Amino acid sequence: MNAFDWSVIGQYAGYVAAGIPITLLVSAGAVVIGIVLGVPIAILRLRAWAPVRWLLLGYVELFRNTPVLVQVVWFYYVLPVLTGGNLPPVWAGTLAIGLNTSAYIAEAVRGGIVGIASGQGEAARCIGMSYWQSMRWIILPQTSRRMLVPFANTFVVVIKESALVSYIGVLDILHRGDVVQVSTFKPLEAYTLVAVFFLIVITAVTQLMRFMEKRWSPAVD
Amino acid sequence: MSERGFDANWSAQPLIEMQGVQLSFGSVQALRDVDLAVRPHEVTALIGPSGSGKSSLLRCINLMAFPAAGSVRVGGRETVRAVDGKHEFLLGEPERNQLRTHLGMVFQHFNLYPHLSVLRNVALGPAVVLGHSREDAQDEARLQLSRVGLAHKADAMPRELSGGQKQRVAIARALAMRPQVMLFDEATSALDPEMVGEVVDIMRQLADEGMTMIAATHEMDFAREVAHQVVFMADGQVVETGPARQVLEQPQHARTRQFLDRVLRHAAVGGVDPAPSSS
Ligand SMILES: Nc1ncnc2c1ncn2[C@@H]1O[C@H](COP(=O)(O)OP(=O)(O)OP(=O)(O)O)[C@@H](O)[C@H]1O
Ligand SMILES: [Mg+2]
Repeated sequence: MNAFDWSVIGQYAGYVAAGIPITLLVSAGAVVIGIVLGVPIAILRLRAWAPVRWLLLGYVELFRNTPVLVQVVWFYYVLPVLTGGNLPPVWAGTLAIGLNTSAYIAEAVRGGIVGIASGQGEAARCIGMSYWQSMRWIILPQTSRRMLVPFANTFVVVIKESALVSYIGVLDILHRGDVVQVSTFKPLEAYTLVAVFFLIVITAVTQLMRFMEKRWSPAVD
Repeated sequence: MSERGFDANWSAQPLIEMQGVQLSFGSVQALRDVDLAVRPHEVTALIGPSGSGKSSLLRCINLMAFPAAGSVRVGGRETVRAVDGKHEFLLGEPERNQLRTHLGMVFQHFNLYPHLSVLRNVALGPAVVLGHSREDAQDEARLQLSRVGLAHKADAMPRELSGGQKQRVAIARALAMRPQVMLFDEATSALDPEMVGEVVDIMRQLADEGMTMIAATHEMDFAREVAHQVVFMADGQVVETGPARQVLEQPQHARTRQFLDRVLRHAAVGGVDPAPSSS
């Protein structure tokens, strides 16, 4: 085995780093989809008309009990069929990871809602608030605060999962590593670059989240 | 009072009435054939061991639980009627919410809203439920806070209060709805002993002002001195009901005597009666 070839690092670092915006875009998009869908799913799973609740239970179980990679590939092939057009694969990847994330977020938020509903939600109902008023004024404001940390953790998980989009040809950090590996025959150097850039991205995001938590999450007893 | 939607006669005799109420959770019978009558301006103390159904009874009154059999009347109006495990709502959901505005509830664990200041905890109901303007709701909240001696804590957050203060805020929150009846579910059971007094004093004051109250409680002094009627429950049944003195001092049933012996011995700090219980 040859010594570690630093020239590969020097030559291709910029190329691999150019995948960072793609990785972040896919991750952020997936988290947004996850929250935008996950929170209503959580609420509806608690209160909606029974068939809707069963449907949503099926949705959650489906996404939690199949591999994310399978979901990514499936959406990659099914999306063009559904839309008729040729959406870039980055959409399919973001959508698949986003829907998967929404299933996990729905479960976490549901737990948060149930926890608050039993005491304070009941107090709100007992002064005459409707279910939706108690959601609006008591349960959701507190759930969103309590969810800040889990959401931040979800973001980190999603960044790691986003590497799966390389499988369908999206030029994220990992896929660029593949390209370097193929053209230089230096897998060790190529994937070291990949790992280092993921580490940088995740560390930066973690720090940012920690900073935001401090600012926005007042102590709740 | 009809502007709130639940139209009732608040001087009805009795003001609250339960007949043959049953409530079950799966195989657990929380209430069995419970009858209860509460007259306006009177205080009813609910006593009984843990799990005897005190909370369940209170929750059937404000329709947070639905009986499997029997009927409940509030202000002369039947609110729910059930036969063979199926309840029939006699009030639509909006009217059930409106009913609850008349029935203040105080919980063992306070259940304050931790993300809101003390003032907003109390003002939220008048603003959101009764539709008062922000100013009116906050004026009402300040008034009720001063009634429980906590006007100076209006801007504090709940976590900055002692247990006794939290419970007083919770009482103010209920009073801000101007209820016709107050339901207390072991309002002092989660408090350190030195804080029980401040909460009991407020309950006493409310009773003196003529508030109709039903209080599940372990405070026998409160029951004896304040309650007009004492209801002793065990295993989901009302074992004994009567004027406070009669039930507490000349209980007719062995279960009641047993319970009172045990509770009063516990209360006697320093162990006045060291004789070991034979039961
Ligand atoms: N939500 C519930 N699910 C299942 N069982 C319940 C529920 N609420 C009450 N029970 C059961 O119903 C019975 C009566 O309970 P309840 O809470 O009314 O008693 P309690 O007299 O208020 O007791 P405590 O002094 O412990 O508060 C108990 O056996 C209890 O376990
Ligand atoms: Mg109870």
